[in-house]
Amino acid sequence: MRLRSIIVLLLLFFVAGGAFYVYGRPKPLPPKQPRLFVWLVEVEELQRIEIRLPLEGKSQVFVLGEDRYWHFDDAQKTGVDINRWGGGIPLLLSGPGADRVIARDAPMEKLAEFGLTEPRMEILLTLTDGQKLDIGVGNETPSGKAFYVKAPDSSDVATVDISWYTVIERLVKEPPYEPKPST
Amino acid sequence: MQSSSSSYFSRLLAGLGVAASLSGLIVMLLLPGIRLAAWGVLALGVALLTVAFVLDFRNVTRAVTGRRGLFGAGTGVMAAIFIGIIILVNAVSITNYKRFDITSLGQFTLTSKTKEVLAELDRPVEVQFFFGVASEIDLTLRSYAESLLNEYKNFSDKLTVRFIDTDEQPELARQNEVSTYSTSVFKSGDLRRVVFPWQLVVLNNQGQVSAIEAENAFTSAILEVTGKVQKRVYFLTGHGEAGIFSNASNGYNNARKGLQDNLFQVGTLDLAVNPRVPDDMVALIIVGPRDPLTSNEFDILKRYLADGGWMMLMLNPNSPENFRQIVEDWGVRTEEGIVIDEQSFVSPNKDFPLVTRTRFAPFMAVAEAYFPGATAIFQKDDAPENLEITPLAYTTLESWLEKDLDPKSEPVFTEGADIKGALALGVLIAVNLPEEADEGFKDTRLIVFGDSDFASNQHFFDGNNGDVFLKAVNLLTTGKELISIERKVLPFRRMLVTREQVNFITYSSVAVLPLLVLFAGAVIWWRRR
Repeated sequence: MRLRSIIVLLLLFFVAGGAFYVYGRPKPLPPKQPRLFVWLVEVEELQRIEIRLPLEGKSQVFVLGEDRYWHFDDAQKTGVDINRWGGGIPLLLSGPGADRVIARDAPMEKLAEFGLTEPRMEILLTLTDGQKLDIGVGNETPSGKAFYVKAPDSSDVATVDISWYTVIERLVKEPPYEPKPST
Repeated sequence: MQSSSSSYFSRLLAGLGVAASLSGLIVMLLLPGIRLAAWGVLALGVALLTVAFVLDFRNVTRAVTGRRGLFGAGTGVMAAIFIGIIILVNAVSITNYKRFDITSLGQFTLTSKTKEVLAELDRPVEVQFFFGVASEIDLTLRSYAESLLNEYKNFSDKLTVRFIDTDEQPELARQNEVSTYSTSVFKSGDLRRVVFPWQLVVLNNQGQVSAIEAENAFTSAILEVTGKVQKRVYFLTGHGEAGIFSNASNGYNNARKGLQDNLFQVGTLDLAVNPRVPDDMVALIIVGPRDPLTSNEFDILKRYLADGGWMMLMLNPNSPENFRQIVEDWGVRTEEGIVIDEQSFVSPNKDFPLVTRTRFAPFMAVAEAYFPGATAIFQKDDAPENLEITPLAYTTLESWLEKDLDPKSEPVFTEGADIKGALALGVLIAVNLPEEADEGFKDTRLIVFGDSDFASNQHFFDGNNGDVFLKAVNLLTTGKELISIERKVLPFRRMLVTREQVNFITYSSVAVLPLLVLFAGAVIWWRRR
């Protein structure tokens, strides 16, 4: 009698155990996504930075001099204001972190929807080995907190925080000339 | 002699082993910070038990393999398996469960109002929920809205719901003028209504999200896009009235939410700021004013009633004189004093008269409610004949209006000073419809309560107090050509018990089960003896 009860209970136990195995096991946490970058190069690889604002007809070009300082690409090779430029600008342009990847290999109509067929900002990066990266920045996201950015040589689209855009745009709208020495 | 002392020693070791093992387990559970030491104590306990087992091997073996030992082991195995089954079933149910709402009006799913609105949908309604993934609140709102809107879909096949990734579909977001994550757009035909995320969240005093409540906003939006207009009631402010957004015990936050759950729109009216009655006002509610009206405000309210307005006035004892004057024009008066009911009250407060079903007007259909510190409403001898004055709730014959209540002593009826019950605690005043009423007939309706506390936050969910308030508002506003209000009111039920009943519930719930187990044990022991 007791043995029979134990066997019945054991059967129930195994049924419950089976149900737990199938339905109840805590699901493993998804692996933490590594930080995604829209593109990524070493800061030291940047040789030339060209930023264009096609809608406003403005652009600016910066080149890395032999003195390892950044200059405007003008006849005088005017140096940039080191306080504004610092190490931050090359770092921002070596690869902005993506808020999220919106589309992989987006079709043309989606690119148009994101404002990437007629980008509001174009960035052309030339690397020390001569490789060129052509990046397009499209519309603001509806929330106004980020911009759509198309990765170089692909139709992948990601969003990048608005602060990144603002800093880069300012390089064209308010070029970082060295302040004139006060007399 | 040697065997006896050895047995005693091994028992001592076993006892210490058990104590150490239990202590180790308890410390491990309660003080995880010193878990290492707990493991040490546990190991010591196990070692002591092992030594006791080795020292008294013969006795232990005999005890285990004997009849009692086998019996006990069998019972232990069964108990262990049973506990294992319970643990496994609980572990499975944590992630796999199904909810059933068996309350009469489905209080834990959608309100009856929402279900009725959905059941009556006669045209397609599309809901677009534009979600974001930027923050935790966006994810929470999406999950909440998904669950709620799927629940909505269960009650109408006219409703379609789309969840749209705002960033992936910016064009659609722009077309719908959506610029904030977690925005919902309701559409039906040419009508469109946007519900913003801040309409879904409830903030606490620190400005943090304390709750999410989307049902009112969603159902209101459905009503609006299907061309139905919700009734809007206003609460008068500026005279020390209870605040409809106040969470204080005397506030009316719960009452406001109750009205919104019953699909009223709720606003406030400060006649000092805007000295006119809003066009969209269906009824005006005045809750426990403490300061008098200005003469201009007084004139506005008198004119509002005279022009066929609908008003609910909840007066406490010692209310300002001109508020009392307003009701006197409509055939009733209030007296100074507090209602005492010796026969029916919320123990131990005799000034909390408890009104049960038979002492409510039949159309109120309320089981019981109480009115803390109320005054009474009396019909005037010279009340106009064209008025129909109906008591909504009244006290027992053993009640009176105490004119001089001393809180330190037991209230006693004083002949000649106090007024004997039964006393009306609330009345409905309506103008009798003449046989040949023309379109200009002034259908004035006035509900006067001698108390405002019964529907305050502190008492709203007690008994059927909230029910009384909501039904009174429904009663007041029946008939306006807006949405139908002949609906079931969302009930709030809480059992009202006396101190003796509280004691019985407490002791019986604590003691009955253990006593039953003891009794069963005693019976089994007796039978096996």
